[in-house]
Amino acid sequence: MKKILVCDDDEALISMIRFKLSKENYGEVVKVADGREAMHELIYHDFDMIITDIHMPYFSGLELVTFVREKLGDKTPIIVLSVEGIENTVTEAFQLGADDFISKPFSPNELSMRVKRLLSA
Amino acid sequence: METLSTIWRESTSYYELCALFFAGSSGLIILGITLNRQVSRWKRSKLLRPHNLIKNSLNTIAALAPDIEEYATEIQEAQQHLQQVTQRSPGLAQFVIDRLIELHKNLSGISARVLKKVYDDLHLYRVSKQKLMNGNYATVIKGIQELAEMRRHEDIESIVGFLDYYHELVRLETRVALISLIPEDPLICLKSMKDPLTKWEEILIYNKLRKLSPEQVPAFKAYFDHTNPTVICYCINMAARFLQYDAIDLMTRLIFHKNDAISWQAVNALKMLEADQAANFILLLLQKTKSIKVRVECIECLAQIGDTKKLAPLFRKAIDKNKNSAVTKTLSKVFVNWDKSGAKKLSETRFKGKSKLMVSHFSNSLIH
Amino acid sequence: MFIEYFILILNHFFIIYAISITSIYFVLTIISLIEVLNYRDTKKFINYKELLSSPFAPTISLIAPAYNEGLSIVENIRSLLSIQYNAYEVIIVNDGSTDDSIEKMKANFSLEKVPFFVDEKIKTQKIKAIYKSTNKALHRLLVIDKENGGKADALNAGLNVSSKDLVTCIDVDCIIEPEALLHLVMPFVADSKKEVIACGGVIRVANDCAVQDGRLLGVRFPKSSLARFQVLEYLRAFLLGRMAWAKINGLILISGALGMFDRKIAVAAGGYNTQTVGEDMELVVRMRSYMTSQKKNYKVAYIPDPLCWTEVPETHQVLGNQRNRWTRGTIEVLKLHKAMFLNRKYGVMGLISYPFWFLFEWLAPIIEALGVIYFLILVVAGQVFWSSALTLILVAYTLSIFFSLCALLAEELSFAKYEKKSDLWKMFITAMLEPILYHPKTVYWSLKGNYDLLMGKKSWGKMVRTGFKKTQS
Repeated sequence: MKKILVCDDDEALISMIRFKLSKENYGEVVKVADGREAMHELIYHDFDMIITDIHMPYFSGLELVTFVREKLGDKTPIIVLSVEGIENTVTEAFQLGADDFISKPFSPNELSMRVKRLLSA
Repeated sequence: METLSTIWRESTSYYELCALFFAGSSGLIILGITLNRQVSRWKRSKLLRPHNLIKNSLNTIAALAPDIEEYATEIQEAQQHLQQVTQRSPGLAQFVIDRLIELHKNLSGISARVLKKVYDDLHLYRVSKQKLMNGNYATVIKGIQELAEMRRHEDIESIVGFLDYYHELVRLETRVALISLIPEDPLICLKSMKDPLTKWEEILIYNKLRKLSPEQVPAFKAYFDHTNPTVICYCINMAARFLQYDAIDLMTRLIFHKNDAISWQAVNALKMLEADQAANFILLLLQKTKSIKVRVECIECLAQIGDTKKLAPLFRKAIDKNKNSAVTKTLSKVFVNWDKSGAKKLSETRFKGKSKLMVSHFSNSLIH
Repeated sequence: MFIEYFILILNHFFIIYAISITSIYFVLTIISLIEVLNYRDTKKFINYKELLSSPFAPTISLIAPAYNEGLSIVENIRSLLSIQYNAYEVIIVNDGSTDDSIEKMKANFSLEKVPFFVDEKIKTQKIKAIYKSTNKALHRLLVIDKENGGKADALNAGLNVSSKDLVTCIDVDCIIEPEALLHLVMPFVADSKKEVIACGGVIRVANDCAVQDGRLLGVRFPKSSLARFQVLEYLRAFLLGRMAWAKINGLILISGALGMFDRKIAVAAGGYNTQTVGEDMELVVRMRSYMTSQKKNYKVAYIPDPLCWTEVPETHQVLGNQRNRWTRGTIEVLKLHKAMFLNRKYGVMGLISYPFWFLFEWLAPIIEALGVIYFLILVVAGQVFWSSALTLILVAYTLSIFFSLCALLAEELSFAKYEKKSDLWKMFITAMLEPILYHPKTVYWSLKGNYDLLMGKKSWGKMVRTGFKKTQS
């Protein structure tokens, strides 16, 4: 059973993502609303994949990526969600070690494809 | 006991009424708050189930829409649930709208289209349109935002009227809403605009324009002769940000505008577009203009687009002659960026007395 | 005959004073309640997140002076670095700390000295060094190490170094909510008619709240009675008073713990005054008079969101020192700018704000004390008409409860941070006890402040910080 962490401060969106990923049987999906909760989860539990928004209260998605790569030192695949048109943030995310990137608005199927690809890799 | 009551009646004065009033209203406030909390807690518990139903139905519709053939029955069922729930109370209908819009904002493709269809089919737009009739400006704005987010092109006419609404924020939101509603001519709202453009509106408009597809981005040079100077400035800036090179000619003309803000913005735009054909004009402006801000911008612009060999001796002379610290600062900064070895030499010879100034530029994070 | 006349005049004087102060507070309360509701409406449709990804968002420097804060400085800086905003930097000014603050910062944030030159637009004590982090993720952090010169001097050094559009001055030991900058910046970007030069924020009491890693997890009503009284006092001052003053554009005090300023105007006005203990109020007054002298149409804005949580003193000695300082600060500012008193040139500030502060902030405790003395004399002389005296006392008492509850109502209508039902009742009881147990003390402290100023006391008084007790998870 795989475990996926989804963080975004938009409750409607993460609830939809959770629904989608559970429907496709990717495994257990944990949703959190901000960077602090995400870090808390990451410290106490292991995840097979992280999906995070860029703009969140307390800690941004970029800080979360840095946290996972540097502090925890693990290679959990990370997908970053972000609004269109902020190219430098995207490149920054990749530099910090994000594996994939989806720009909002996106199609639920696009997300599930990317999750599938990273989980099987 | 008797004496007490007589005292009370005899001396019931103004002051006692005051005390009574204050004590009474204090009691009312505390009771009101407690009661209100109870009621809202009760409401919340009652609404838990329908809210969950709505969440689930919308999730089903949004998540499964791309595979609509496979999950046709499930989606239909969810839609029916929503229909029943929305008819139950306006509060629940509003909850559906809020949730639906959140999802619609973040989703694209078939999911977004299906969500819009739900909004139309369940007549939720009627709830949004009703808000336009409300007396409270905040409610009106909410209605406008909802209709714009769900792309109700049918209701453009009822929204356009708010361009002349008495409340400034409503006018602003209407203009912003029209950008996404009329993609053929997104800046139509700016045409007759009299309010000064605030930074907030600039932010909102730019964020909306970024979401348009490249061919929908309007030609900003059409607004360079607007009567409102803040609009001209903004459009010059936008033309530069969307790399509209065909606006360079007009911008070059605008740098000599008598309004310093427009002049500055035009020079800044030419810098962003790296329009080297305008270099001579900017040099001319640099000699003519009196505004320090414009002069600094001219120097920075020339540093980007000008011919180094031709400008270096000119600037060197200017550094010695100039008295304004801001201009000197920019000039020396330009030298540093032009040529590393030259910069070193210059800083040794020319700036002996001004060494502190140089260090400030090296430590300036913007340069590095 | 003469004595009777004298008594009559005194009676009338006290009554008129009391009635006028009450009616002013009454008007302020009503304006505030309307404004709080209005603000709540506005928040419904404003999407603050639009600011996050926009290149048009103004740039901000967060300036935090630190003096011997080694106990909690690392934790506090971490929380400052994770505020939700894109274009901001954090400037920590180490004001010649004698503890290990700078070593701690160096070790935790891998700081490195950078070459610097500061254009000294405002004269300050010497800056020894400027540090930046070698870690790219901490690019927002900038630490200034300077010689000791006091809080105002440290803030001025920060103003000199900053090159951003706006500056936010905060106390480093406060807990700042992550959305603070997004909300504070709003008046600056959204006002179309007037140039906004400053924006104040609300300070709330953080005692006994659940705090972890410099972040507020849960709001609780404090256990200490002294802190409880201050909760109500802060609610009244921030939700009822300042909201109304901002509405009529007469706000002259932005608390030093959280306020945002237009950097250019703050610098042009001359920065913080190092000669007074009321430097936060003094700056706003001076910025306003600067704008008046430039003949510009300006505004000082205010937002009621609870964005900054601070630990208030829980002992009489520390609280007494603080109030003593506030009183001295107020008087010093009023003295410095006495030219404004009823001066039409300064608009609302000269005609309403300044006289209000003079008559009802400075003189109120003095007149109140005189009133009590007068009453006691009458008692001794047997001249008191007891039934009416008691009603008057009753009016005063119910009135003060009424204002506290209006503040509570404003809080409930807008943010409702104290969610527990028991907290609500505790607040009610606190409001009933406050006029008897707490108010006399504040009067005493401010009288002491007056006395100390007369005797020429200048210092800040000792402020003992306990640091937030970490709640272990």
